[in-house]
Amino acid sequence: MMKSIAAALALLVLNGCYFSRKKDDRPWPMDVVSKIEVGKTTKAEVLKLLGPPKQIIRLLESEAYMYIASVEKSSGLVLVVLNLSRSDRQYDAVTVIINRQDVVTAVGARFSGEDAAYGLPWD
Amino acid sequence: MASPGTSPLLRLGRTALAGLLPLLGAGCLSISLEGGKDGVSGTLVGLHKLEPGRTTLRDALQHLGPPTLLLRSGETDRLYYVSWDGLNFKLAISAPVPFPGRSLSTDAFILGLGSEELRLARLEFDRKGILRDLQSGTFGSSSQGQYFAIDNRVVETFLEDRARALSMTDQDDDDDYDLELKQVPKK
Repeated sequence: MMKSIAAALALLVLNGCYFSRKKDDRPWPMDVVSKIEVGKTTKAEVLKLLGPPKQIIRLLESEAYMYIASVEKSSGLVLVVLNLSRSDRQYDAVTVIINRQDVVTAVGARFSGEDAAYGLPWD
Repeated sequence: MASPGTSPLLRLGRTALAGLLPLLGAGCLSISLEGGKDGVSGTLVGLHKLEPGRTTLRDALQHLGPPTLLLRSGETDRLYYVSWDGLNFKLAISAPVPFPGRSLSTDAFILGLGSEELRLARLEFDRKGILRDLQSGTFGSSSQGQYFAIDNRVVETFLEDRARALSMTDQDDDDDYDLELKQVPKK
């Protein structure tokens, strides 16, 4: 009897419970990015390794290729009148600076997309 | 154990009423607590390694990773590193509006409380790729959404630059399109 009541209560509580995971673009393997060498790798090689960038930004003496892939994890609990929700968005991103001679002059990478976490609103 | 003068039926009725109260209020009372996080808060830890006049764009990308926003502004290249987190509480009581044939309600009382924190760093590089200016800070906000920073111009400039970067992307697309048109050989 008690088990049935507990199961019914659990169903009632979890009825308004959700988890979602949203991915924007595909991430790039870390070893692929590590193949990019400052002063050596060319624009054509960057495009071959990483594909077309999400954004190309023209800078004063160079241009920046921005590669961004985001992961957003959301969770929530709706208990009749009480709604608890949380979202966490993290990014895998690579920025490559290419000079006028089409050679890479700087590169920065961060892989924190998988650090996005489910949790309570105050986490 | 029943208290004197309380019948089991009455106790059952009270328990049932207590359980039903939230259900009865479900249509007109809502309490919500929302938390959010965007970006890595620890990115700015590497800022102390940067030195205006010496640090290059290459060093900055190596220490801090890719920026949130990057754009050309006058005679400088500007990089922004931004992370944000917030927690908001809302209590709303709404009342049904009697209207034949329609289901309407109006908010009778809303209480909203919240706190947000924006961590931001702005780096400016000259034509040679040398760091010329570095500004950073943590900016808190009230529930009205007004940033009350010591120098909120940094936040305002960031918002302006972000809007400009978005419009520049559109502009660049147009430029590329124009270029493609020019490359079409004339018959």
